[in-house]
This record gives sequence, structure tokens and C-alpha cells, in this order.
Amino acid sequence: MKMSEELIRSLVAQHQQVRPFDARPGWAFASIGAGAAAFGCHLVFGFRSDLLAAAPHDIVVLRATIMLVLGIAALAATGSMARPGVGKHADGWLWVALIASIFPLAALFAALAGQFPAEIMHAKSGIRCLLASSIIGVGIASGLVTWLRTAAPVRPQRLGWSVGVAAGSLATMAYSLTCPSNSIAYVGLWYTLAVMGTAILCRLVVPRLLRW
Amino acid sequence: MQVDDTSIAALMARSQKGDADAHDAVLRFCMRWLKRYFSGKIHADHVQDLVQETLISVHTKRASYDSTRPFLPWLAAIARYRWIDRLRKVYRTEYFGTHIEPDAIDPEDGIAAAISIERMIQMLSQKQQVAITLVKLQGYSIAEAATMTGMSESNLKMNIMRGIRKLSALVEEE
Repeated sequence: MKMSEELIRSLVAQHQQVRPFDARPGWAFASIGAGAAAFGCHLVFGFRSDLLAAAPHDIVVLRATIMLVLGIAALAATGSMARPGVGKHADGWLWVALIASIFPLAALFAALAGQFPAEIMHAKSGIRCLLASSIIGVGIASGLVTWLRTAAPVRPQRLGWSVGVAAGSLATMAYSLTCPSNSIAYVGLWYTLAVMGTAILCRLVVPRLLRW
Repeated sequence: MQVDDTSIAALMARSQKGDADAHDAVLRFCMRWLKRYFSGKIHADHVQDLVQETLISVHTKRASYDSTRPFLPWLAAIARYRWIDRLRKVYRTEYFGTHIEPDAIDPEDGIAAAISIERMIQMLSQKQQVAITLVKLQGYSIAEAATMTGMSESNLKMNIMRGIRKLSALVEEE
């Protein structure tokens, strides 16, 4: 253990004060990022008229609420996973993801029943939704990765998923306030692609960026 | 010297504030604890390297410790993460046949049992446990372990690969 003694002396010699990992900057960044993204979407695409009239369509309230709750749950899990500890469980966001799966399931059932509106598959607004949400999602995820630099994730792949779902769902929520569609099949297809695309990208990239 | 979790958590909190003496005490405690923790869980010749790698992780990731929470589960999660990382790297050791120290952690201690490596290994399938124990912990070659278990070499490798993947998912499980 002589080498370990030498190692300890060298680590103590380098030692300086550290700021304990804090969840608040992550929450602040995600909130400001999602708010700024919603405002940016308003400037580029314009908020929906029913939203501006303070009488939003039910689907707008439903999809924005579910995306927001999913984003919050995944962000809470991300903060928890940043600090290691045997006996910790940070999988509650998976239940919220299960609830959010009503959208793709609705789209799937509509497709199986032959009632999936074909125009939704080719909607220009769908591509716009996918691109805008993905770009915003990558921006939010980048901020979250910066926040996680001092973290010690012992399940980096799982952390990649949760960062991606948090960023993707908050981004989609921000975009949804400008989205012209009122179709649940549309949400099931394009929103799911946006959230899953961001999640898969983060699953592949985030563990490499946070390797320790 | 016996140090309880509350004392070491307090030392760690002082260490985060820049107290070098407290940091020294924390690392020395970790060194002794990790040596016991890893004994019997990897070939004896790898224990020192693994202890050192984990000490470096404890040092570099000390900001991730929450001083309002117990210290040992934090340390054990880092230790398990480093242990799994080492299992991945050491595919076949050259130390076949040398002595492996028995587990030095008191099995009567409930907390120690909950955060132990055995607890994780027990969650693997029987085939995965046997494959990882023979090849990764005891240093037998794939061919030797295949002969001993009656599994094919490819089946053995697959059980090792799947077992390590499952261990990664179980790293924070009690």
C-alpha cells in the first residue's frame, strides 16, 4: 500500500475547495431555456390564436402539460443520478414516460385501424415541428451537460436517456405553443419523433461527454 | 480506528470546504475500506490498482457528495462503478491459480451487506454468476471455464458480457 500512500499525499497536495454539486443551476437553465425557446418560437412562428385569446384547445393544454411534467420528472431524475449512491432510485420519470406514451399509442391504434390521416405523414408543419424541437432540445441538453460536469454518474447510459427526455420534452412543450395542429395522431407521430430523437442522440453522446 | 458514517460524512463536508487534513483523513479511510471491499471481488493482484483508481475518482468527484446524506452508499456506488469498469478491462488475467483473499467485510453488518458487491452479483442469473466468478474474479481462461462448467466458449462469453451489462444497471441497487 506504499503506492497508495504516495497517491494520497499527491491528491492532498492538489486538494482545494470544491463547490458541492447543486441541482438548482440545472433547473434554472432548463426553465430559462424552455421559456426563451417558447418566446423564440413565438417570434418565428407566432403563438396559436386560441392561446393568445386565453382559450386554448384541449389538446394544446393536454400535450403541453404532459410534455412539461415529463420534462420535470426526467430533470429531477437527472439531478438525482448526478450524485451516486447505493440504494437510490431515480426511475420515477419512466412512469411519466408511460403516461406520455398515450400519444404514440393513439397514433399507432389509428394507423392499425386504417384511420391515420395521411396528410399528417407529409405535413410540412410536422417537419418544422421535428426540426425546431430537435434544435431546441439539443440546446437545452448542451446546457444540462455543462451543469453535469462536476457530477459523478454511475449509470451514464441511463443519465443520457434522462437528459435527452428532459431536453426533448421541454423543447417540444415550448414548440407546442405555436404548433397549428389539433390532432392527437399528429402529436403521436411528430412529437414522439422529436422527443425520441433527442433522447437517442443524448443516449449516444452524453455518456462520452461525462466519462470519468 | 473505527470510524462511523456520521464522522466520515462530517470529514467529507470539511474536505469539500478545502480542509486538507480532513481530505487526507477521508482518503485514508477510503483506502482501508476499499481494500476490504474489493478483497475477493477481483483477483488479489488487481486490488491495489483498483483501490488507487477509486481513490482518484473519490478525489476528482468529491463535489458530487451530498453532505446531508450517508457517506458509505456514495463511496460504494463509486467503488462498484470502478469495479465493473475493471472487470470490463481485465478480460483474462495471467494470475491463474494464485491466492484470492476472502471477503473481509462483516456479513453481519446490514449496511455493509446492502452495499456489498455480493448483493449485486446475486442478482445475476446462475450462469452469469458462474461465468463472471470463474473468468473475471478467479482468472481462469475462457477454455478452462468452459470445460469446468460444460458451457460452450461462446455461451460463456455471452454470459460474461450480459452479466457485466446487467451489473452496470444494478450499480445503485441494494
